[in-house]
Amino acid sequence: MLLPAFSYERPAELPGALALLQRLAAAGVSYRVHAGGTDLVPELKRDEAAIGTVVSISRLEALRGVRARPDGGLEVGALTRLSALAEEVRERFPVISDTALQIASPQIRNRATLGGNLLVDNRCVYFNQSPDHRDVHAGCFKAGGEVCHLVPSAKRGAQPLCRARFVSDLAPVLILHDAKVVLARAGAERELLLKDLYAPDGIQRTQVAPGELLTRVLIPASATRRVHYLKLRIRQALDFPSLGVAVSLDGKKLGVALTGVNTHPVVLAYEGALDATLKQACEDGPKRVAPLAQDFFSPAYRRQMIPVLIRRAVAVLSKKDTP
Amino acid sequence: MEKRLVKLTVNGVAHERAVAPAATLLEVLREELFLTGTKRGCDVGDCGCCTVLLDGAPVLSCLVLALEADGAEIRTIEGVANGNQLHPVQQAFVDHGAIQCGFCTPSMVLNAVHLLDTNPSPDAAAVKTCVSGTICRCTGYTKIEQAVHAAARACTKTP
Repeated sequence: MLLPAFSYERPAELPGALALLQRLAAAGVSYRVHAGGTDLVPELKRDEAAIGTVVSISRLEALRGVRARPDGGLEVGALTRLSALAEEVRERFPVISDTALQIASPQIRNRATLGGNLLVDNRCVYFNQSPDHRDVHAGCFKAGGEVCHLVPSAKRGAQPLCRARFVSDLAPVLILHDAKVVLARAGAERELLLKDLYAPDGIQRTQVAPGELLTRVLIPASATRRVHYLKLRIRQALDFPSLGVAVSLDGKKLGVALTGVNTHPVVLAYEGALDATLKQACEDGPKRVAPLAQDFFSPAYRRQMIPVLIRRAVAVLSKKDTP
Repeated sequence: MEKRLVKLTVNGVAHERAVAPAATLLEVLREELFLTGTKRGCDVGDCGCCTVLLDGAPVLSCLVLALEADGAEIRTIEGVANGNQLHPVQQAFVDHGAIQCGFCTPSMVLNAVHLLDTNPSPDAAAVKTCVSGTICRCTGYTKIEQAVHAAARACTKTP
């Protein structure tokens, strides 16, 4: 598949990159940020959107690597490759390391970045296809058309309009660590809890504004919280999560974050005796998601597996409790 | 769109080419440098058979814009053997019948070469991870894994 023509910029410094993004946004140029390219290049090859300019941030070395924070937490550059992330956080946050190693394949992890995984495009069997494949069906909402092939009764104005599913593996795990993301723009930056980064729609997926760049991820330290992640998929490599379940235990607090079964990560939080909170989470989980027929596994099966994986993850975490 | 210069060192040989932003590393290797050992399969990052080593690490050349590889050291399957002397990984693939149609072989070999460079005594899990990024449509994974283990033994024997 040939790439369409686009102009290409590869700024050497962060301020230059932010100024460029601001200029492009102000001029209304359609642009995409290229970090590792493993999600973007297929998107471009499949002509999923008309892109005028690709802004590569791969030379911004300041955005690469893991640094300790004064509070004992970590600050991870958004450009940190998944293979490097897995190495560098293994000691402090083994679950983040294990989760990173469940993404895609070794070759992809050597290019794909943390920021790219958090902002990975939502997936739909009808949209993420070659133009020939897409042309068989009328253009869907995400392709600028007036139909959703997953929910044919949906009309423009529906919320969410696009039901393409959220597929990041790291997002649920980092959300349960109360991670924050730093969004920079020319001359300013803002911090946002990662769980607030996402919008419940497959087209307008995030709160990243035109001209903004995700630069860093802040992971606070916690002496007592433990997190585990389980991923349902056909193969033990390459696949996006058909369902991903992250579970956290912290004293009397139980947290659950789900991926792969909705347009955005679904987060549940409980406090109380574990027996009761676990039962409640297993009841609530399947009700809070809307899996559709866009995966190898049926929506009903993915829903049924939510309590199964929550219980399995809690069992793993409870085992770690006993010395 | 305007072409730009890209400098690549491929298998130890320096090259300079003018490429369009839309050119991938795979296209430059195959169509400009005529190194056709690197295969074009799915072209969207699913199959793995376009693997090359970029600054020592296996990557999918169909997903790397050529301009992103500016200044990089690339090793392709053509740079694995030493003249007519096969690399121990290649020899092990031949000895164990770990090649059927051969389309995934360049990627399997490069991933194994990288594995043994970074982990001379890989366990079964490490070998499985090593082959996990490349699809063998002949489904010859068992022999490929055996070959990688045999190559590891051969490499640790020879000083």
